[in-house]
Amino acid sequence: MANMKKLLNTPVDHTPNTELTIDGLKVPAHAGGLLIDLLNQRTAAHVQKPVPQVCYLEQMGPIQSCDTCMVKVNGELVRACATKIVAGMNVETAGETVDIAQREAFDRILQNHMLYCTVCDNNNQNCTIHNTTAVLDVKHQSREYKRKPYEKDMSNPFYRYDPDQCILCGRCVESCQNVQVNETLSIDWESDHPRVLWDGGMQIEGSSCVSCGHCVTVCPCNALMEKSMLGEAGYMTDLPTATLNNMIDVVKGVEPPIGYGPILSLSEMEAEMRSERTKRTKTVCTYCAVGCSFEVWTKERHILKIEPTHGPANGISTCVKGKFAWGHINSDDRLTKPLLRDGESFREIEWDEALDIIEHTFKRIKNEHGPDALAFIASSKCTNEESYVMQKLARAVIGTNNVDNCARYCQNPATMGLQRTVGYGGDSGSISDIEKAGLVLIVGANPAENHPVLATRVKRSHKHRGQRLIVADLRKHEMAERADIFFRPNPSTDAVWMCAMAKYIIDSGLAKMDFVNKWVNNFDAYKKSLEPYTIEYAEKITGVPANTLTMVAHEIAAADGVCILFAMGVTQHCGGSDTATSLSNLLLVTGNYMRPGAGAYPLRGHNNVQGASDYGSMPNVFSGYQKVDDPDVRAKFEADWGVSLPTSTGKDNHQMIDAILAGTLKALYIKGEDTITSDSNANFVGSALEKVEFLIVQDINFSETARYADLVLPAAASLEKDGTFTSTERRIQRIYKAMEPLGEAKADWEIIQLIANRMGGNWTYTHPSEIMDEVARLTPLFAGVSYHRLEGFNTLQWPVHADGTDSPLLFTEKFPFPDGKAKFHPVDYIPPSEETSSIYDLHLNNGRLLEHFEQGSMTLRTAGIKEITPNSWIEVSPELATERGVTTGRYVQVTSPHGKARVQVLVSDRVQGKQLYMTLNSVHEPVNRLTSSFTDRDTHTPAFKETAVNMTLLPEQGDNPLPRRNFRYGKRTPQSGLEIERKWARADYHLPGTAPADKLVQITSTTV
Amino acid sequence: MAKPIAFKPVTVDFKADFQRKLERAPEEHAEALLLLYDVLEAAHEKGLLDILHGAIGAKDTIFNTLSKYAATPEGIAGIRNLLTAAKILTELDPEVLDQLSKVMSGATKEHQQEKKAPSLWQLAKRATSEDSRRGLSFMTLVLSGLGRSLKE
Repeated sequence: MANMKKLLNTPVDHTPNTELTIDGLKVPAHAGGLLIDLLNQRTAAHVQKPVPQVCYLEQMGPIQSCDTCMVKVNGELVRACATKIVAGMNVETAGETVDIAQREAFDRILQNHMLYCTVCDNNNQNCTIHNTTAVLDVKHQSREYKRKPYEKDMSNPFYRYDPDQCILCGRCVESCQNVQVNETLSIDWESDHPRVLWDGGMQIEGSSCVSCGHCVTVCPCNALMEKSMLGEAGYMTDLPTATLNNMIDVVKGVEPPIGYGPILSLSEMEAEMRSERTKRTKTVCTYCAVGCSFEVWTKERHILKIEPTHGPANGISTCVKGKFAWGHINSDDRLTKPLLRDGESFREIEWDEALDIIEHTFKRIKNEHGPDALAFIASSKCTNEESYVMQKLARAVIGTNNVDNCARYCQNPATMGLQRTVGYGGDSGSISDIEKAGLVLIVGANPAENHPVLATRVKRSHKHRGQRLIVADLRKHEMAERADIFFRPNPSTDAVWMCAMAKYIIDSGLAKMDFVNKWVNNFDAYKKSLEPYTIEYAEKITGVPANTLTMVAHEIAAADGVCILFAMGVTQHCGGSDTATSLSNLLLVTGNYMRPGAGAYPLRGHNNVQGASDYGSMPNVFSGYQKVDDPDVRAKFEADWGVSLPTSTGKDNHQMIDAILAGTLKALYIKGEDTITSDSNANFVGSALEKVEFLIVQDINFSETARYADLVLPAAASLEKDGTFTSTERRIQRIYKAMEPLGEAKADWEIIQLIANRMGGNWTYTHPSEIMDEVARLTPLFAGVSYHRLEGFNTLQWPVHADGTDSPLLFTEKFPFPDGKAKFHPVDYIPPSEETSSIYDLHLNNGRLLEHFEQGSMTLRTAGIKEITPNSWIEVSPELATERGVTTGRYVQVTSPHGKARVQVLVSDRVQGKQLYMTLNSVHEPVNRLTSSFTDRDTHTPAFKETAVNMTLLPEQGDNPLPRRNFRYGKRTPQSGLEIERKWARADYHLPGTAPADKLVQITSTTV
Repeated sequence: MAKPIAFKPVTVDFKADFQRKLERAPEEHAEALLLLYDVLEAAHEKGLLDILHGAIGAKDTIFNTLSKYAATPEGIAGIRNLLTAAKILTELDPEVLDQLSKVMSGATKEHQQEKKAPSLWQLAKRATSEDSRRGLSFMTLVLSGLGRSLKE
């Protein structure tokens, strides 16, 4: 590839291996590296004067638009950002020629941008234009500022574009085209007045912009800004516009005699003052499991913005939720006091009374019915420490192993499949491996909407690094549209084509037998088990043409590293564990473990679903997956906790529901989960929640599940506490407290400790770090984890050894089985639990949306999200819509054997034939009223994706449930990048410093 | 055991949060608060609090009015002249200014001591002396510099 873009998640190698000269000094350097990186490193080490640069961001790579980084190399003026280091080159960063070129370039920029830093919301010491003005010590500008003939665009709910301040650096375009790869932004270089365009037009609203925030984050000035910053960030920025304009006129009027120096100094003082009231706190996103980390800027409780910089998973990247969807933090319906059911309502009570009730009731139930009459459900949104203390409460204080978490609803089959075959149930490597794989195969997952930042790496590698992309899914989502091969197997048949491909690969001599013979047991039994899975059989069962299957098999066999990304389309079936197993078998037979750029990547859904299981909130394991029925393990925990522990596996959350209905489970404590809308077969679950004798729900809002509670406890949100999350990369990261809990809400770990101590626990944790220290003491998988090692943006990927070395890539030396080898685990295909019939003739698929998270409990509390996507809907294929006479907006009743839901139709070619797709974002008509209680055979994960329904048209024809302003209607404008060559081709462009008139006269003046 | 109940929690009172912080504040910031009370009392007695109260309430009006007048040509000229005057003070060699002031002072004393006006011959001799020629040189340099800047 002529122009391979750099990897985003792999640091560039700067190890010196050659030498060059900079301003007369011999300097070691890395051949092939960018000159500007070397100069910046030297600046950071205080051995080099800063080289000005405006458009260059190390994470994005060069775009060559600002021209301010001009230096001389071997006597010629060049851009430092675009110059690769060659041995012996002679670099001059100072001197008249260089100075003229840099100043000329920056003068052109200032023609497009009015400097009014002191009254600018972007004056926060990180403004590139401001800082470059200072670096160049600009006294005056030669070119007068010129307004553009365009209005400010305020149409997006989250950010605004001010063309008058836009310097056309193109960072936004580059980030949109090649980092987010949404391909919405461009610049019309040939226009008389070039500007940034959305889908080639001048309005953000209604374009394909997904509000990921990349453009706003990378904008070097205030042209693109978060609306939450406007009028809030500065001391004077909330003055009326007329006043601000007058003040700006004054400054411009007095600038000639004194130059920019004093004015800039004034703005620097104002910027410094802001640090007194603007708090910047590092945190990790509370939504999906990519594990994006960033700073949250707050002014008291007001969230000014989310600023991603150098988080190891995401760098400068975010999605709409992580960047903008924080309305739930200050939502006016947050729970602030405990609530006690009182007749037909709830009343507020004090904490002491709530704890009295819990203590009394827990003790009574335990005494009358035994400890196994109580059960605990931990949260995938709460911290690792909170998962740990929840299971400790259950085991050490109450005496039961009845503890589980929502991984039961989604990820356990993936964990089972991987544990069976390769020993660890987590992602084989990191996002950096996914982006460098030769082939990415996505099965039953929609990462562009559910793991957006992770998907950006795949999109970028596919677009610019020659990565192959294959998608297997029922639905034509964005990654399917981009894929080199997209195939649509029949529902619940993935295991069949995976086995068939494995058999084909073995029979064709394409298997990596060197790897298999050295590292994998049970090959013969596995090969025999594949005998029925001929390509012809697979074609018959899956509906995928034979030549497509063989083509994909060849791609997998030939690729230099295959990463298989998978999610609920694989796991939420009766055969979910077996499908995950088949997937892992396929990777083993093709040698796609134990190497970078390969492996199995179950894409975890929640910010801490990985951690919730890792830290022991499961009925059969302690923290680190240590078995509860292992006497040695149990003895270790007993010794540390000073108690006797239950010996047998407890109930998972599916079994808890059954036990409630059977009358053996009397108390349920649910932390941070909306069970009634998350678990399958909502009516069935509802009947259990109605029946359970004592239900505690602990949450930040009054959820649908709280409606059934006897006691509701107010919990702190993620920005209101310390702790850690574990992402899908097995990456443990710190969250820091940015503000106090609201009202009398408490951090979940504090609440659990209060309860534990009322029950005789004698716990004395004063901070989550102490909990983590205990975990590390008792858990080999986390032996080296400590808050000290996790300071700031530092992270650790488990396993973490006692000396702190962690594991970005699993299986580098062996597999975690006694003989160090993995093992093939044969599976048998069993058809789905619920197939379509003459009565229920349609297949119901379901899932999330990009801009919402699950049922929308958090995201619907952000006004902008609700504005662009207020409703849920059901996707109906055009052919089915025609057959049934249904149009977009029509209300339908969808009925399954288990319940019904009323929803509006959206006719879409994302689905085909008799397959429907219902979005999850509703608590009033949740899709789980329709799903069954069938579960995965091995883990009891509900078979959410095996639901047969029928559809009845209702009389009401409503508006389109997806407003026109939503990004899904937009039309992207893909291009290779900024296309800066088009700017250079303009008649009025020349390289700065190469024309005689470029020598600007700088009036010397005294700097105050 | 319970049927599901629809329930809307009491709307969060964000002021109550501040109230809680205020209640804790006296203990946490006792010394600073006591000093602040003294400062407040003194300012109140002098009527400064009243003025400040009014100014804060009228902040937008005040800023708008000030900026409106500052932005007029006269306002900008006045600010520039002030800045230029400040520049003069900073750019002038203090030694020269010091000498100038000593000279003015000395000449004034000498003049006061003259009983009668000097003759033309005495004036001509003084005017063509080396010292006077040196002074004239300085003054003509100033004059020609002014003329040059007016030309630009």
